[in-house]
Amino acid sequence: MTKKVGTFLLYFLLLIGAFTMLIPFLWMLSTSLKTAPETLQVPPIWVPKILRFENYSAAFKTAPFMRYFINSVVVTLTTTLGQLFISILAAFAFARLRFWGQRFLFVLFLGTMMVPGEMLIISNFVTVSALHMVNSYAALIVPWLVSFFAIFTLKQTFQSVPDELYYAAKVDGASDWRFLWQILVPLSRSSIVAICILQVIGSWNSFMWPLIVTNDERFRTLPVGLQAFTSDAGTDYQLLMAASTFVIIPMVFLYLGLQKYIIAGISKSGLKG
Amino acid sequence: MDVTFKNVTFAYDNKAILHHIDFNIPEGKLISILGPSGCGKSTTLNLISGLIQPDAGQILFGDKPVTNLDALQRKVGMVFQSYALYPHMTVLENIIFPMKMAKVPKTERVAKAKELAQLVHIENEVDKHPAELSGGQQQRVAIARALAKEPAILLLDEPLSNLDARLRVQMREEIRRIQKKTGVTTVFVTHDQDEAMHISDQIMVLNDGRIQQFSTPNQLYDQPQNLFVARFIGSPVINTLPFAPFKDAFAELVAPEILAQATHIGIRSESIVSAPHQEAVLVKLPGRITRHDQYGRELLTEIQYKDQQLASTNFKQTADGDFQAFYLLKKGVFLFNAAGHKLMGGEADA
Repeated sequence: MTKKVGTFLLYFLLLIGAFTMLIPFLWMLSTSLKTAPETLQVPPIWVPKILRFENYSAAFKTAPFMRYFINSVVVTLTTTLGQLFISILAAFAFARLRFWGQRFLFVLFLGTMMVPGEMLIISNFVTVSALHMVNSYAALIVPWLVSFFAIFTLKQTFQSVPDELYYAAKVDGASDWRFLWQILVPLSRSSIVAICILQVIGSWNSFMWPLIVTNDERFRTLPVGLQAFTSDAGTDYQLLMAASTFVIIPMVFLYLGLQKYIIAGISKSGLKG
Repeated sequence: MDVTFKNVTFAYDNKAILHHIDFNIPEGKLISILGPSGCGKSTTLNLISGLIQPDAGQILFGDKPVTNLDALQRKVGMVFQSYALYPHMTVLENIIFPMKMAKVPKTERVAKAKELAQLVHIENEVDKHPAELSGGQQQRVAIARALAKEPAILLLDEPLSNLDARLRVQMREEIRRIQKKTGVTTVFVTHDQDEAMHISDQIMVLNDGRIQQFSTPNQLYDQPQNLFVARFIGSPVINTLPFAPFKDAFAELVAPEILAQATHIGIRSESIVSAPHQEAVLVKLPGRITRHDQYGRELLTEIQYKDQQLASTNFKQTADGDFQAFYLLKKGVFLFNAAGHKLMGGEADA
């Protein structure tokens, strides 16, 4: 009996939590189907009298969203894959190889995790502009290719693989390179997927950096593109919310598909830079 | 292929692990490296495998120096204590892996892997992952994988220590069977003398990074070259006592220089008897029984001689049970000097 009550209580609390998390999404969907006056109506209305799906096509016409979408996809894919590749190699070096200055380098890299990302924006911008990289894909991609969080997480995962597997692979005739890709990487799959997902989400939602290093709309990404609905005269909330909906949808599907890895990754690494 | 070590030295963290080791492992034999933990036996194995390189000395496979070749180039097969199977691959993929690395054509390597699976009796488990197998089965997979690239030498690093007692006996017979069938030169590292005695053609006893003795199991037992080997081999452990209380009794039996040098006496427990039958007797000594127990078919008798305690496993209790004397047989009694070297005992005519 007490067990039943406990289960009921647990589900009740989880439902409240889930509902709280869902409200902004529901509000976004609801607003995206309203007229402009309805968006600001007090008391707020949840279901507009007429569902105005034409907001979506109107939003799509306001700015070159197809271009933004392609940019977002390109930037997200290249930063994620590039970062993953670099992290795997770097993590292997830190976990398995012995080289001069290893400890010092590791501590130095670890130190960078203590610097808040916002602080780096200015210095990164100065660097990027000094290299004449402003308004380019390179500016959007290169600074994010190295993530010490990813390197650190993978290093820990790689180190949890027993030494004997490494020696066994050596005796079996595998080089370091093949050991890494055929044994370590498959064994670290859940960490790798977790890193990818966190990076995909981070990169897809990234706003500040693309805003700073691009002013040409050819290089703008979706989150920056959402500004198109804000002008001196005010904000077209219904269009903004319509556009936001299709910015978010790919992430929702990604999350639904891979949620078991996301939770595993977050609870495993326990920290996020 | 036979393996030769010439004056091989290895140190780790400035601590010498192996001191000027010399030996030759003959082709096609099963050799055990036996010793207590920390004696350098795994280091010796790793030196053969090429996972580590010696600080000095030479290692030869046949006539070919391999001292500076790594594990990849030496073509050795190795079975690790933890088996070290690749957990994300099936049994068949595990066995195939070394052949894949060696670029053996695909159809050939699958056929060969199935053949090996049959040899080690895991042909019904080839599609499972290692985690689904029992310890003994994992062991078999590890052996099959080590044999897959037709190694010049098969190395086994304490392969049985993770198995329960019954399975251990079964698997050591298996290893012996597979070794005989394939004829591959095999080096087996263990700290269990019983295991080594049952499985090996020859045993290398290591202690403190030095070879104590390298001979057949029977020679180790019957003719230990020093006190360490005498103590290490045999169960129950050999009686080792100071020689002084025995000196008078031995005065007539051994040469004066041996008598002068001997500091310890080692007496195998089965060499202490109440009444000799056919065996050659070394000496009769006065003493009394302080304890006599029988567990199943095992006898254990404690005898007091002067102020020394001796244990016998061969002391037949007779009706009166009141012994005033016991006999030491010629076989199984050894004298050692202060450095632990054997002075007497285990001679061929004993």
